[in-house]
This record gives sequence, structure tokens and C-alpha cells, in this order.
Amino acid sequence: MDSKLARRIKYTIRVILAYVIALLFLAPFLWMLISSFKKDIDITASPPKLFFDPIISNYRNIIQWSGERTGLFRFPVLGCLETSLIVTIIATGIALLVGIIAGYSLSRFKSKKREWIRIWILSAVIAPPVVFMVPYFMIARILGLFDSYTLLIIASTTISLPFTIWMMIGFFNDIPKDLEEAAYIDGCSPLKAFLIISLPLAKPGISAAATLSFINVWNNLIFPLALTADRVKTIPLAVQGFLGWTRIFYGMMIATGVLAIIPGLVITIFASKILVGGLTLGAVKG
Amino acid sequence: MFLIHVKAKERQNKTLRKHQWVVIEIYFLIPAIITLAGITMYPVAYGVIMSFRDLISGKLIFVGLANYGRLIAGGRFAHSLYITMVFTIVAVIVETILGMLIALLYSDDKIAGIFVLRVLLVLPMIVIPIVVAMVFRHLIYEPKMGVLNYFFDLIRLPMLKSKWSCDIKTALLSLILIDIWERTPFPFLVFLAGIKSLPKEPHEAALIDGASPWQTFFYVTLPLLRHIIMVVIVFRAIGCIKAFDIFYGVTAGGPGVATENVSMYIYYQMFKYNRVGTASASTVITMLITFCFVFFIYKAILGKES
Repeated sequence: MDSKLARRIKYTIRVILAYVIALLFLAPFLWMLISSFKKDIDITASPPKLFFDPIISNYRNIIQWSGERTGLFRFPVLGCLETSLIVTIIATGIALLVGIIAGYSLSRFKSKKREWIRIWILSAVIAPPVVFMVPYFMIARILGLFDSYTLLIIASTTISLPFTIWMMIGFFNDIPKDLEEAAYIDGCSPLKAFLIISLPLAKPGISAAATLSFINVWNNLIFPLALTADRVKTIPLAVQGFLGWTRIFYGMMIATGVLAIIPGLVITIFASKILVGGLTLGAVKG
Repeated sequence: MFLIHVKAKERQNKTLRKHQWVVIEIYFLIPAIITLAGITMYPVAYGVIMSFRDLISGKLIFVGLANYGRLIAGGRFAHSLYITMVFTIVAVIVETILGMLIALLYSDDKIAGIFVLRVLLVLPMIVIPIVVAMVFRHLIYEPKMGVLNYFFDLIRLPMLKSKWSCDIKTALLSLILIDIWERTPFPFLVFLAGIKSLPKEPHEAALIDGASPWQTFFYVTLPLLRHIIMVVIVFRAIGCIKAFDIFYGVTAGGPGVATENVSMYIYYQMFKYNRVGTASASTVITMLITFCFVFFIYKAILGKES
């Protein structure tokens, strides 16, 4: 009886603990969500207000922005969303086109020389983006590419491509070679075996690589910050842009942040299982 | 006659296959090599060249090793390396331990609503880092209108009140706290997957032998998860070394240089002080450190699997 009671108490403590931890981790997120429905004056109130008149004008102001530059803030958020999407999709697309086949090649053939190629790729995965930022800035000045889509896409590819190749190596390593060998015996050529056996089997890996490099490029602040000025603005810069010289547009800044989460949120809900393998570059079989 | 025909066809097939293997071995790799050379090697090489030059009265003039000399003599770069190191070590240790504890707690399927909690706990990871920085700086850490100080007032612990990111003593701590909030979900997710995929037998054997839950954890679970823990530590360390957004957004390296990590240092040298040479030289040194780090972990951990 006693041990049953003790077990019951222990279980209750664990449940409470689990919920408290979840609440702690959610609290800043929830506070951000709540604040996005506040007027600026309620956001800056001291002490902070928990009860207030909710408004949606923050979101409306962002979305209804007509494009003229004389208004409240410096650039249209929807335009930034579009720029972000263009840059992210192209950078991810290039990475997938080039990265999948390179990953397959590196996974199936191994030699000393290729070991160095792998180390090179891993260095590119691990190097802080600032390392590329400085030379890119100077090269862009010389070539006259500063503040252009081309430059930002090229720079973003340094984030997406090495990462994609590295992940694809891991995922192709996981696909048993026996399947391909069985196909060769049945008279399948290597290219055909790649196309009809390995590629479909690597689909979860490909979608993990695609979503993660999408999120990485989408979240990236440093390249747009350093390499673009007015024409090419991405979402992280838009958020930054609400910090005016004379005032801060808290409401709209936070609302933009909430809007910008949506792609990541959708992906996480639908692909959270795939992502575990992807987050560790395929090093853990989730 | 027929046999000869078949043999000829077979030989033809064989050469075709050989040819295709070459296609996979070489031609599959070439686009990636060319792209990578263009987007990584070329800028890095350019950076190395620029690190021997400096902007003097509008012209890039060869100055030899002066940039490196200035970096070493100045001490600010060393300080930024030190900040990066402290940030990385503290954040990685806390995140790994915390992630492990939460994963253990959450691995129990019997808790009501645990599946929802697991998904919810991942949320901090998907918020754009610069948004996280803005929210923490303006809504949470802000000394007067921030929630954190208000919260400590509410629970009657005013001695914990602080100026957080605005105070030279707590600035780095508050950045570490943000990183812990934002990135602990990652060790949590990976450890949860690891714990879930562990074989049941060792645990049952330990239970039969009368081991306490903690003993089971330390002598059975931890050794089985050793490899995953190493991988998590490496990846969190990489993330922390790369960190730029929250440094830039919350403290911008300040107060003073209290939170200036390597990324902030290079950014400032380049865009605030316009010292192209110094920025390039510190880029090159960072690159070298990265390469040594990569070489080490490749040989020690990641290379072994493949």
C-alpha cells in the first residue's frame, strides 16, 4: 500500500515537473505571441501588463503596407518575405541539385583523396559565416555585385551546400548496398540503380536536408546584414529594421517575428521525426 | 553464332557499366567541387591575400605581417576568443546536462499529454534567432519594463533582480541563458530519440539485479548513449562558436567589449572601424582554428563511422 502511494506521489511529481519545464520553455514564446497583439504603449508599460485590449493592427499594418518609403517604417515586410523566399528557395535548390549526386558519389567511393574532400566540406559546414563575410564583401565591391540577389544567393549557398552534401553522405551510407547489388545482378546499370533504388530510398534524407538548409538560410542574418543595403532585404533584416533611430516599433517588430516563424513551424510539426536525424547531420539514427 | 552475339553484348554492357561507374565517381562530384571551390575556396584565398594588406589612405597596400602582429599585440582579438570559449563551454555543458535530464523525464510515455509537450518543447528552436534576440532584449531583459525583473518581484526575490544584458557582470550570463533557452531542445530531441531506441534487455537485467534507477542510469543508459552524447556536444559546440545573431541583437558586443565574441569582433573590425586588414587577418586565424577543430573531430569521432 505504502509503496503504491509512494509511486503515485513520484508519478505526480514527475507530471508536475514535466509541465513546469514545458511552461518555462514556452513562456518567452507565449509572451512574444501575446505582445504581438498589444499596442506599443501596452508593450512598454512598466510593470508589464498581462491584461490589455488586444488589437490586430500590428499585423494589419505589416500586411497592408503599400510600398511607399515615407511611412512609419523603412521597408515593406511582405516584400522582405518575398525576397527571403526567393533567396532561400534558390539557395536550397542549388544545394539539392549539386549536393545529392555529390553525396552519393562520396558515399559510394572512398579513398585518401576523397577523405580530404570530406574534411574540406566539413570545414565549410563548421566555419562561422563571418569567415566568408569579409572576403565576399570585398569581392562584391570589386565586381559591383553589392546589394544584389546574385550575391546573396551565392553567399547563402555557402550555408546550404556543404551542409546538404554532408547530410546526403550520411543518408546514402545508411542505405544498404545489398539492394543496389541485387539490382546489378538483375541487369540494372549503376546509373539506373541510383535513380530507381537509392534516390527514392533517400527521400526522407533529402527532405530533411532540404528543410534544414531552408531553415538555416531563412534564419541567417549576417549575410544580408553585411552584403545588402536597400534593394535586397530579407526577413531577419526587416525585424532589425523596426529599431528606428528615434523610436522602436515594438508591436510591428514582434508581429513580423511571429509571421516569420510560420514556415519553420509548419515544417517542424510535419517533419519533427525526420529532423532528429537531420539535425545531427545523420550522425544519430533517430 | 548466337553465343558470340550474347558475349559481345555482355562485353558491351560491361564497358557501359564501367563507364557509368566513372560517371558516378567523377562526374557526380565535379559540379559540387566547382561550386564549392567558387563559393568557399575563392573567398578564403582572397581573404588570405587581403590579410597581408591594409587600407592606407584609400588604397590596399602590402604591409606584410603587420596585421597579424597587431592582432596578437592588441589583446582584443584574444579577448574575443576567450569570450567565445567561455560562452561555448558553459552553454554546452548546461545544455547537454539539462537536455539529458528533460529527455529522461519526457521519455515516460505514461505522462498525460507528453506527446504534445514534446512538440511544444521544440518551439524555441524554430524562432528566428534575431527575433529571439529582440524579444529577450526588449521584452524580457529590459530592466524597467522587462518581464524577468517583474517576475522576481512577484515571487518576492528582489535580490535576483539585475540589469541583465545591460550590466557588464551579467551580460554574458544573459546571453548564455538565451542560448540555453533556444538550443536545449536540440540535445533534448536527440537524447529522447536515443533513449527511445535503446535496447530493453540491459535495463531489464539491471532491474532484476536490483539496481536503483540512478544506478541504472549511470551504469547502463549513459554508457549506451556515449556516442550520441559526443555527437551532441560537438554539434552544440559548433553552434556556439558560430553564434552571431543573439550577440549582435541583444548586446552588440557590449557593454564595452564584455560580450564581444569572434564573430562580433570581425564584424566590428570590418564595418565599424573599416579595418579591412585586421578583419581579414582575424578571419584567417579563425579559419585555421576551425580547420584544426574539424580535423580533430573528423579523426576522433565522425570519421570512425563511415
